[in-house]
Formats: sequence, structure tokens, C-alpha cells
Amino acid sequence: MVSAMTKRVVAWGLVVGGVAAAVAWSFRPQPVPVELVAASTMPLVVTVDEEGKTELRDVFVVSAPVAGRARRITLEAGDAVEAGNTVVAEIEPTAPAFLDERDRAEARADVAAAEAALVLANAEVEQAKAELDFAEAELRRAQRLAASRTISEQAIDDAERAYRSRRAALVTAQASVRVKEHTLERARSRLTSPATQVASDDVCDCLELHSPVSGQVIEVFHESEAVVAAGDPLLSVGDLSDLEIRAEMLSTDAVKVRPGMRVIVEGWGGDVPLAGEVERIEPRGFTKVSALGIEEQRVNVVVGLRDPHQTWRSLGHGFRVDIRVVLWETDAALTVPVTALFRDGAAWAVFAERDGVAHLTRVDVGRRSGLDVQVTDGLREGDRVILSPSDRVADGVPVVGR
Amino acid sequence: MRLLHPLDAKLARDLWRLRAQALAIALIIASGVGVLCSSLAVVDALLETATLFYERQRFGDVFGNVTRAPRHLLTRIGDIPGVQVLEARVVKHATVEVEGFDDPVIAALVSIPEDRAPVLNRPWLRRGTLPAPGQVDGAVLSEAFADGHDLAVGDTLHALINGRRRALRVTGIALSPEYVYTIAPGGLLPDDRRFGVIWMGEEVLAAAFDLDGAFNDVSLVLAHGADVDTVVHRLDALLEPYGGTGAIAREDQPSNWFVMNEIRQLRSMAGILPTIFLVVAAFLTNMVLARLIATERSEVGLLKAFGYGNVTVAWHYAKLVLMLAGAGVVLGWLFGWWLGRYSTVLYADMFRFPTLYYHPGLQPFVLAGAVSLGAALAGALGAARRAARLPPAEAMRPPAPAVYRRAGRLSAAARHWFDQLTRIVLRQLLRWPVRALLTSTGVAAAVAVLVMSLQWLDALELMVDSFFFDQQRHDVMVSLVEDRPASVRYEIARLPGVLAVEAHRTVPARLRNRHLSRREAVIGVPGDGELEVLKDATGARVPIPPDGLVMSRTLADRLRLSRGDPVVVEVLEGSRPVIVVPVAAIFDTWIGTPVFIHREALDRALGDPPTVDTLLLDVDPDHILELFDALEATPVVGAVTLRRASVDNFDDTIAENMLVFVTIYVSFACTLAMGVVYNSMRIALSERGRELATLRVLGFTGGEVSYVLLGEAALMVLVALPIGCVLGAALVELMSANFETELFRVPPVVAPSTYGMAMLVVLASAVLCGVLVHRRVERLDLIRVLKTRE
Amino acid sequence: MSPPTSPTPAILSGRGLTKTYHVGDVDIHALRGVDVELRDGELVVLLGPSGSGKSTLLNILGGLDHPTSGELRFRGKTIDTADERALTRYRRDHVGFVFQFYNLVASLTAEENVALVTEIARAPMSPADALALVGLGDRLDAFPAQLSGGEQQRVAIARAVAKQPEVLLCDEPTGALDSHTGVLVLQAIEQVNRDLGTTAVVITHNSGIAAMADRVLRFGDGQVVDESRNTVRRAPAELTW
Repeated sequence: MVSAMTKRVVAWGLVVGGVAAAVAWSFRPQPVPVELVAASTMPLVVTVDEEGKTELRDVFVVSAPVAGRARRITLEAGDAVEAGNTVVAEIEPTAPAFLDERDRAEARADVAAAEAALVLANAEVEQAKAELDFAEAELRRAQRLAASRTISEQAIDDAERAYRSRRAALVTAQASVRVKEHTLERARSRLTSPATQVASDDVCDCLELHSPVSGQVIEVFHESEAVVAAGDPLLSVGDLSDLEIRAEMLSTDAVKVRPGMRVIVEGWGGDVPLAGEVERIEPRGFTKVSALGIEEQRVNVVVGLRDPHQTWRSLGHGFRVDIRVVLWETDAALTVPVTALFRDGAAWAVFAERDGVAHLTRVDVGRRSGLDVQVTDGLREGDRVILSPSDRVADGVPVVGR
Repeated sequence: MRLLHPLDAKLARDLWRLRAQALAIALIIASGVGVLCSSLAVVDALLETATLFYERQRFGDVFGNVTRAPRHLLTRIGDIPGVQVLEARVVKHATVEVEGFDDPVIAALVSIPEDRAPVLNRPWLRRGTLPAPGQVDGAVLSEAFADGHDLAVGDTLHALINGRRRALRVTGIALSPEYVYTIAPGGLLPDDRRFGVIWMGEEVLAAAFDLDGAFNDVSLVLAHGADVDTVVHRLDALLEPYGGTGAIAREDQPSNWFVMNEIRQLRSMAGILPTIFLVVAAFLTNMVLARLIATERSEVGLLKAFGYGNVTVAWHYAKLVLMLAGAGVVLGWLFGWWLGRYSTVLYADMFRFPTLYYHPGLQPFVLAGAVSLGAALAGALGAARRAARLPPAEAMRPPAPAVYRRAGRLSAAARHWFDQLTRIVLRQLLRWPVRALLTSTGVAAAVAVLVMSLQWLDALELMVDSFFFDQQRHDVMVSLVEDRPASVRYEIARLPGVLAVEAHRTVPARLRNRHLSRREAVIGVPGDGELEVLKDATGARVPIPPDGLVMSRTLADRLRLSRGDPVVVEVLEGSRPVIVVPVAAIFDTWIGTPVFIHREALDRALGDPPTVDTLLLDVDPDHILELFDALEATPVVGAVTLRRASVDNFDDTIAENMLVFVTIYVSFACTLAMGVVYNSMRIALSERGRELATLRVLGFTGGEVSYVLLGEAALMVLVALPIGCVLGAALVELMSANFETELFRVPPVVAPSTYGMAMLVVLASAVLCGVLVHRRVERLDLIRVLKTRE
Repeated sequence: MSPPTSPTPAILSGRGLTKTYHVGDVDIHALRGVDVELRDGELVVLLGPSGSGKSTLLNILGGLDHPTSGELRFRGKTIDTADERALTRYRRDHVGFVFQFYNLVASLTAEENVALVTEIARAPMSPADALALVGLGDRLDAFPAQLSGGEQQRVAIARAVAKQPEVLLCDEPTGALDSHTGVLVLQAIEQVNRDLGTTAVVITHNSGIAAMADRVLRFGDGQVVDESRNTVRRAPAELTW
């Protein structure tokens, strides 16, 4: 027979034990929820990044060779042009200038003078004609007389001479008339008003300018019909399939860059990054104030695109791109996100998760690229690390991935 | 000669006899009254202090800011109907160098007129004076900042004002109604050492920022009865061409908003907890009184036989309850007054008023007292009436022994396992299940209060983890003074110690959904960001789609939006486009009401090239000082915020205060638990004294006899534990829903150890009661008890 | 009932027992030096008016109270200065009590009330046997509420004797009962005394009951005023009061 005491102890022991177990169980350390990522072997690319702009390798500016009236340029930016064939602009002579009142009066006076001079010249022609007629008649008479030997040789010569000189004088007077006629025309032409000029579209006494190169029109400077001076740029053309990228790199970055280095071109608006190559690094540095307001020494770096033109057809001149010059790359680097790293004393460390527990693990880090950091020692492929560990995570603390 | 009427003498002696129980009940009432009084008193203190301060220092009603506006615009602003007084200022931010402090420090530079005192938003000088007219380097510091760095009148400090390093001489230390709650732009909590306010001469500031003859900040005080919204509207219209981003009324001014928010929360708190305590107190008084009267049956009969009427008898017992409750109320008043004072002192640290007026009005105390007395009386009413109705003769007869019938029997098998004493325990419980359940419920309430209080610590932990570590993964956040091209991020990436950079662009905007609208900062982020990560309620990442808004749930709820709904976004900057974007995703966060969009979409909408104004950095701690130096030397860098400092500040400010309040509420809960358990046991002891004495006579030891009482209590407590945990979880949900404000939401998360701790504390309290009751059992005067009639 | 042939040993002996209560300024002398001896198997009746000290003596004999002075021995062992523990053991193992108001545990059945005691006794009889002894063998499962006053009292007696104590102390066992029921109760006490040989002490203010005892001690004013022997013990049925 079990004693009363024992019965009590057993019964209460069970109950209290149950409660104690529940309480103790509630105090078991709760795993801290964390975000886990596996260290993975993946390609790592260390780059120097900069913003750049596309530029046509060669831009051809078509400018007016002479002053004149450039007709309206119907070509628009983007239109295709063919070297030598496509007429890109037409220049026709300009209309004469206006005269002010004084000049006009002078011109009119000139016209009147010229008219008078013409009249005078005509009159002189008449006179010369008359004199010639007389000289001719005299000569004839002299010749008739010569046949009959009635006149002296000298007289015949004089008559011939007189005739010839009168003929020359007539020619002179006629020429003078012509000169006066032209002078009158000149004086009259000064009175020509530009308003009387009639431009005819289809008939164009123009100078045609042809495209120097095949490609596209880049920019039209003078679209509308206008009077241009010699040398005024009219439009620019270029071959958009011949683009290069120009970036202003910090000189301290530019020294790390060599021609031939691979370049990744991003941020150009397309879906996929483009492949490029460093073509040259200009030797001259220049000062530029950065976006942060700091003066820096920069160097131009030129990058050529290596992908087929089809893939970046939509890129134009002066478009913004981001270039990433590959300084170092590898196909297989064990990487973790940078948000998993923290300092443990002088070394870098991560919290690696194994069997539901966080372990403080020192690591050696190699190269960095963007958010990825190469781990050269301390972790193996597939090891899971905790991203952005909170203050609750410590060595030996149970954790659970969310 | 009698001093007291015999009934009153009896009353006094009864009270003395019941002093331990009375104390327990009084303490419970005191807890409820204390919390109610203190919450309301603090609310009064904060409100009164704020109102007075605002009035005296002429705190503005409407605030507007612009990029740059000419002074002559003020005439037109003044013409807006309803505007009584207006004042324009230059308000800018600057980096401050403080000796011996390496972390970045920024200050809001606020201009004060050179030749006269400010008209509106007047700084209140604690020490020193305003700068003398013509004193170019004079500056007045905000008190919290000065205290944080031990700066005094006459000291010199250096500030980087628009790229130029200038020395400033401290002429005074002041407080301001605009900065009662001093937070850095975009900050959460006051960080006295990293953000402060500096008042300087207007001409100096204007010259430094190229705002001569212009202003960038205007405050208005409106006439009585003026419609604030209309004024804000018209002010907006006037300021828009000058870069105005939307004027705000006083209620949205950050400092004031925080103060009012706190008051709202206190009012909530004042509602829930005291109710719990007072309900339990009412229940206890009922229990105590009913059983007390039951044990005094014969006395009651005697009184009535002697000719005392029903009303007199009932009033006699009512007086007992009133005295009991009265003691509790007085204790509660004292405690409430003290707790209110203590809370006020704590608030003085967070809210910088010149003095915090703690003059609690009578109202909270009267209210609390009336409610408590009412509750206690309500509890006792039934019992008193029953006593009064007993016919005298019946009262004086011993009542028949309690009837136990077959229904109360244990099964034969069970009988084998239970000894007689245990059977007494079980039969007692089974015979009066309702009473046992009510007692259990009282204890369960204590467990629930404990769970609720301790849960605050769990919630804080989750909030910090979620906001500062899960969402924010950067070490440093750099805010630029103005928008800059996105290429800035390459530059920042080259600074010493920078491991990774991501750039954001923040624009002020008005979000509209039909008639609902809110002014928010829309943050443009990269689509693949790792330094700021958004998660939904399940913990899965929320990606940023190329188009559409990613909105926090709170904001979505406020605007009554769900996924896919279109939102009209009126951008208040730049070209001020109005775009319609759908809500692409909703995420959860406990702090703030952020809304995100893909940065490229934002640039597109504004017609801008890639532009940024904020940079998030992951930094190598070994080089952080060099980084600070480099950032300081960069003119376009405005503010530098450290995550580590924010976390520490959060912990110091909130967690510390939380600990105090948790401790207070844990004590309340213990009072509750002990009050219920102790009373229950004492009453049982007095009801069943004869039975227990008989057992002693029969040769049971004091311990065995205690077992009969304690076993019963133990079972009730053990049953109460799981019930209490469930009640606690429900209470946590209730509090969490009530505490929801726009700044914080308290996650209703309860760690298992919180339940464990709550149960342990209640168990410990019960054990303590058990020890006290056991001592009484040991001291039972057997002979006296046996001699009295049942 | 044959008188003892040889002097049987005293099971309980008290010498010079006094008990004084201090109530405020007044001293109440409940017992003023009482000598008493109880022999094995005796049935003694303590007679006297209320306040005469008989209950006080009973309490001291039963280990419920300490005498202010004097000596009490049970089977040679000193009781008067024993500590709480020893007194509890004394009561547990050696004494059975019967009170005027039954003092049964309302939440236990008749059998369980008796079992209460047998569970902690060293050499008890079974509860069923004890109840049979008092004529309630068929009411094992009844709760006190279902029993009459007399039945309750008899259960109390069964409870008191189930542990086979050496001494049975009864304080006004019939005080709350009518004469008929009282007889039944007294019969039970007598049977226990006769069959089990338990020394029984019965307090009463009713002189009629004295006739059933071996010895009658009269009390007055805190002292034994008279001691008498009954040559013949009457059966309870024959008693009149």
C-alpha cells in the first residue's frame, strides 16, 4: 500500500514537473532570424568605373564655302547620307543690299549722268560717223582723182589717213558708246531693289554641297533658309556606326588603365551591357571640378565598342554611358556579399552558419567589386554566411535562416 | 465613555484583523489608480507646458520653406487673409566641428534679425544673450546640444557654413518651441551630440548662403478663427515658383507632432491598464466581502435581532469596503502623483522645455478615486445586500454543512491515487468551480499583465533588428545639400574606407488617392540595392520593380490602397510633374511610413538625367575617421548619419526608459497576483478554520494542514498560467493595435521566454503567499477555533 | 464488566496541573493544581458546570494545550513540555478526539473521514471496520450533509478510534443531540471502551451520564472537587437525563 505522502509527492511531482518543464522549455535560446547567403564561386571583375559619353570618332562639319543664301536644309538629324552623293545643302547667291536715301540719290544721279554721257557718246558717234562719211567721200574722191593723176600722192595718203582715222574715231566713239551703255547699266543696276529679285525654287543657280562621308546627319545648325557667311557651319554628319566612348577619368585611376583592357559598357539604356576595349589614354591631364565640388585632375580615356553595331544601333552621339574598365578579373572567385563582412579586431570576419548556430569566422579578403568581396581564406564554397548581422548575433548563438 | 459607536468600533477592529488582506486589495486599487492618475497627470503636464511655451515664444501656426524667395514676396504673403504676423528667416544646415568628438555633427542654422529680437519662434534664453548687433560670429546654441558637448557661453566652435570654415562664439544657450523635440532631418530620435540648433545673425547667414535680400523660410501666426488649410493653400501658391515644397501647419511640424503623438499614446495607455486593475479589484472586493459576511453570519443575525435595520447593516459593510478602497485610492493618489512626477522628469530629457509644469489638476485624481470606489462598491453590493436580507434567527444558526453529492465524486480509479487530504483539495475545487475559476482568472490577469509588460522588451528588440539591421545594411548615410548627378557615387566610392556605395534620390511629394492625400518623401532607389533591403511580413525580399511605388503597409492603409491601385504623385520639386503610378508592392516595417520607387523611374518622371541626393555607404571601420575628414572637406555633403550611433541612441533613449516602466508594471502584476492568491487563501483559512483545526487535532502537522489550503491555491494558480498566457497574447495584440502611430508600431511579438518569465514571476508570488499563509496555519489557535460554532 | 483484579498501570498521569489565562488586566485560573491518573481501559467521566475547568483539562490531556505549570506524562514520557512536533505526533499516534459539534470534513464521505485518520496511523483498523463498529457499516459513501446529527457523531467516534488510540477524549459528545440519539452515541463509546480496551474520558455537564463510567471526577472552580467510583457501570440505554 503506497503511503499517502508518496501518492501526494508523485501526483504533485508530475504536475509541478510538467510546469517546470514548460517554463524551462520556454527559456531555451530562441534562434535569431537571419538572412543567409551561400558563399559561391563566381566570376569576379574588379573595375574602375566612370561615367562617359559616346562620341563619333569623326564628325564632319559641312560649312558654307562662300557667302550666299543657304536654302532650307530639309535633311534632319538622323537621316542617312551617302558620301559624295547626297546633297546636304544648297547655296545660292544673295540678293543685293538695300540703298539708303542718299545713296539712292547718288545712284539716280549716276544714272542720269550715265544717260547723259551715253547721249553724248551717241552724239559723238554720229559725229564720228559723219566725219567718217566725209572722209570716206574724200577718199573716194581722192581715189577717183588718183586714177586720173590729178591729186598728189600725198593728198591721197592724207585722204586715206583721214579716212582711216575717222574710221577709228568712229570705232572709238562706238566703243565709247558701249562703255557709256555699260556704265549706264552699271548705274542702273545699283538701283536694283532686292525686292525685285525673284527666287525660283526649281531653277537654282546654286552651289550644291555634298556629304563628305556616308553615315547620318548628326546635327543641323542652319535649318532654315538664310544668308550665310563663308565658313558658317551648316550641319554635321558622321558615321554613327563609328562611335567611341570618351570618359574623363581621375588621373590616379587612369594610370591603372592600359590600352587593350576590356571594358563593360552599362547604363546606356539598353538591356544588356556592351563590350568595349580601351583604345587610348590621352597623355594630358586637366583640372575639373567634380560633381561633389572638388577640383580633380582628370584624363580622357577613349574606349571603343566591340560588339556588332546592330546591338547598339540606338546609340547616338553624346549619349551617356557608364564604363567599367576591367582591371582584374577571374572566372572563379569565392565571393560573399560585402554586407556579411565586419571587422574582428584587425582582421575581417563573417558569421558562418553551421547546424543552426552562428560561428564567428575570420576570413582573408582579396579583391572587391561592387557588392561582392572575394574571400581567399576562411570559407569554403557553399558555406552559409549571415548578411547584416544584428547585435543579437554572436559566436555560438543559434540562428535560423528566413 | 464611548468615543465610537460600537458598530464603528467593530468596523475598526475588523479592518485591523483583515489588515493583510485589506493591504493586498488596497495595493491593487492603488496600482490602477496610480497608473490612471499618473498618465493623465503627465498628459496635463505636457499639454500645459507645451501650450504655455508655444504661446510665450510665439510659435508659428504655419511654416513654409523655399529655395530662395525675394523679400518683397512677404508683402503678398501678409495679404493672405487670416495672416496676423509673419516672419521670414534663413534656415540652412551646416557641419559643425566639435573638439574631441570625431563623429560627424550637423546643426540647423536659424537666422535671427540683427537689430531686434525675433517676432516669431523666439528662442528662450537659458543663459547668456543674443548676439550683439554687428557681432558677426555670435551664435546661440540649443541647450541639449550645448550640454551634450559641455559648451558654455564664451566658448568657440567651428562650423562649415556653405563650404567656408567659420569660428563662432557662443553668446547664449537657448530652447525653442520649434525644437522641443530636436531631431535631425530624417532622424528618429533626438541625438543631442550629433544634431543641434545654432541661431545666428541674419545678415551673416544670408551673406554666407547668397540669400541677401531673400529668405528661404517663413513662419506665420494666424488670426483667431482663420482656416489653416486655406492659408496653407494660398501660401503654397505663392511659394511654389520659388521652390516651395509645401507649407505645413503646426500639427505637422516635426517637433510638435512628436509631442502630440506622445500625448496621444499616453491617453491610450491611461485607458487600458487601469481598467484591468480596477476590474480585478472589484472582483476581489466582492470575494472578500461576500466571504467575510458569510463568516459573520451570526454577528449579522445578532445585530438584526438587536433591532438594527437592513440598511444600517448593509451600510456597515459598505463602510468597510469604502475604507478599504479609500485606503487604496489614497495610496494610489500618492503613487500616481509620484509616478507622474518621475515620468515628467524622464520626459524633460526628451522634450526640451524650459521647465516642465507638473501641476496635476484635481480632475484625474477625482476621476480615478470615483471610479475605484465605484468599482469596489459594485463588487461588494451583492454581498452586503445578501447579508442584510438574512432573517436574524437563521443567521444565528450554524449553517448546515455544505452539501456534497455524488456529482462531486471522483471516479473509483482516481480515488486510488488520491489520498484524503488531496481529495479534500479536489472536492473543494469541484464543489465551487465558478469561484475557483474566478480566482484563476484573477491570477491569469496578473500573468497577462506580466506578458504585456515584458513583451515591450521583445518588441523593441525586434524593431531594432528589423529596422536597423535587416532593412538598413549600410554603415553610413551621406545626405547632400542639393541634387547631384549620379556619377557622384563613383567619387564617393573612392573615398578612404568605402567598401560599397548605393545612391538614392528623395523628393517631397503629395500622394493622392481620391480624396485622401499625404505629404511624404518618395525615395528613389536602385532596383538591385543591397544596402537598403525591404521585406514583407513573411520575411521575403520585396524587389523594386522598374515602375510603380513600393509602399509601407501603414501608409497604404492610411491612403486605403492595395496592390495595383493607382496613386497620383504630385512631385513638389523640380519641374513638379504629376504622375500616376500604381502601387507595385507593399512591405512591412515597424518604424516610419516610407515609400520607394525605382530611381530611374523618378528621373524619367522629372525629366532629369540620373540624379541623386543621398548615398549609402558600407565602410571599413579602420578608416572611418579618414572618411569623416574627407566628407567634411566636401562642400556638397550636408549630413552624415552613422547607423551605429542611431542604434546606440535608440537603445539609450527608449530602451532605458522602457526598462523603468517594465519594472513598474511587473510590480503591478505581482501585486495583482499576490493580492488575489493571498486573499483567496486567507478567506479559505477563515472559512474553514474549524476544519483545518480539526485536522491539526487529529494529528496532522502544520505542513499537512497547509497542504490542504495551498494545494487548492496551487491548482488554481497552475490552471491560471496557461489561461494567463493566452490572455496576455490577446492583451499584447490589443495594446499593439492601440499604440499604432505613424512613427512606431509595436510588433505584437512575444518571445517564449516572456511567457516563461511571466509564469515564473506569478509562481514565485504565489509561493511567497503560500509561505505567509503557512505561517498563519502554524499559529492557528486550535482551542479557540474549535470552540467557536461553525 | 468485571472490576480490574490488579492495579493496572496509569496510562496518563498529571500532577499539579494549572492553567492560567491572561486577558488584559485580569487573570483567569482555569485549572488550579489538578492531579489526575487514568488507567488503561478506564472509562472516566468529568462532570461539572461550564467554566469549571474540565474542558481545559481535556485539552491538556490531549496535547492541545500546555499547562502553565505541572507535569503530564503519557506512559512515562513527559508531555507538558513537549514541542509542537512531539505533541502532533502524540495526538496522531495515541489520542482520539470526539467534539460536541462533530467536526467532520464536509467534503469527504463517512469512509473518507475515517480514512483521513487511518492513512496516517501506525496500526489502524480499516475504515469499514471502524464504521461497522459504530453501526454505520452501510453508510460508507454518505457525505456528512446526508447524515443525521447522531450519525455524524458516530462517524466522528469511528474516526477517533479507527487508529486504535490508547486514549479517547470526548468533549460533550451528546451536547448537540436529543436523548435518544445521545444514547446511541454513548453506546458506541462504551462499546469501544469495552471491546478495544481504549481508555475513555467523557466530559459532560449532565450528571445522569456519569452512571456509565468507572470513575467520576467532579470539577469545580478549576479543581477536582470530588472523585467517586461506580461499582456498577450502567448501560447507556438505561441512563436518563
